[in-house]
Parts: sequence; structure tokens; C-alpha cells
Amino acid sequence: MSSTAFSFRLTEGPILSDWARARVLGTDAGCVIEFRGVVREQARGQSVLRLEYSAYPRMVETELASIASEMFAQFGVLRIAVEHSIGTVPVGDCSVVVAIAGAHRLEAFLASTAFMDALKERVPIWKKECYADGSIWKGQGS
Amino acid sequence: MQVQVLLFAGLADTLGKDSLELTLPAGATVADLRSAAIDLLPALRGASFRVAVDAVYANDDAALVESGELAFIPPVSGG
Repeated sequence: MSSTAFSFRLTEGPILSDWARARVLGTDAGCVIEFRGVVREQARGQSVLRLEYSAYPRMVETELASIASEMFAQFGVLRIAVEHSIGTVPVGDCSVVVAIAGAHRLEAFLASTAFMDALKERVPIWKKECYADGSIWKGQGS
Repeated sequence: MQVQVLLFAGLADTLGKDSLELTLPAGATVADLRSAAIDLLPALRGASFRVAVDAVYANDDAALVESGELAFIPPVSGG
């Protein structure tokens, strides 16, 4: 069992490991919710070949830690671990994992959804969608 | 004071660089930083971005210090 309530790491390329889940396991947990985000082939009618992620690592850590603190306070979950890709992730591969351990399932499910909502709103990570005929920074119109 | 601002993703692509240097008056705020950057680089005028100071989002009225790490944060899209 991890002694740290919040853990985080950035990984170059696809996420292949169970690092996040391993970080939150413990005998005090009645459940572990593990969200794995996977690169989808279709985006706005275009065929995506791969995503290219960039990040501001120092601020990724501060924002994720801040979100985790909110989740601990709001939902009373026990531990949270987050792993996010940077660099290139092909279609079908995993680019983000959020693992949350809770005493009971409802609080962990709610925290999992709320965590991903906050991550997409606040955490300075950017994805470039790459197609056969070009690429676009998602949400930035260029 | 002399400040350096980190740029990312679409903003870095648009401007062709990953940081910019600016000279600001002492006591300048985040709003002053935005204005000065847009004056220097008109391509920023229509761009959407938040400002971070020392890796935390900052309001427009926050005062800057020379030693702070500044960044322009375009709309994020992690996950």
C-alpha cells in the first residue's frame, strides 16, 4: 500500500503499465475505480492517426495535486494516482489513467468523473490531433 | 523589470517560439503583461489564453515579480 495519498507521473508515449492502480491499492479500500482514457479513431468526422501531447510539467503537478485535494475534501476518497502521456500516442492506446481508491464505490465513482472533468478544464496538457492530411491543436483552432 | 514568458502548444506554434522576453514597469500586473505581449506580438490579439504565475493560474489584477515563472496557457485539452 502506498503511503502517499496523491501520486502522479508523466510518461513518454502510451501508458502500458498498471502503475496508477498499484499506487492506490490498500486493505482499507473497498473499491478501486480505474479510468483509462484511450485514443479514439474518429474526431469530428475525421480519422485520427495519433495524438501528440505536450505539457507544462511543473504546473501539471500543481494543478493535479490541487484537484486531488478537492476530491479528498469533497468525496472522502482514500488515494488518487494519475498517469498521463506526453509525446505520441497511437489510436487505440491509453493516454491517461486515473486510479481512485475509496472505502465505498459511490464516492470513488463520483470522484473519478469529477477528477476527469477538472483535468480537462484546468490541467496544462495539450493534444494535437494528427490526421492523414494535417493536424490541429484541439480547442485552439489552429 | 525583465520577464520571460513560457509559451505552449498552439501559442508556441503561432509565434514560432516557446518563450518570449518582455520589459515591464515595476509593479506591473498580469493585465499589463497581456497588453505588453499583444503590443509586441499582434498575433496574440485574437488568441485565448490564461496567465500562470509560478505554475498557478493568476487573475488580471495580480502583481508580477521579476523572479516569478510566467506562462501563457492556451485552452487545455488533456485526457
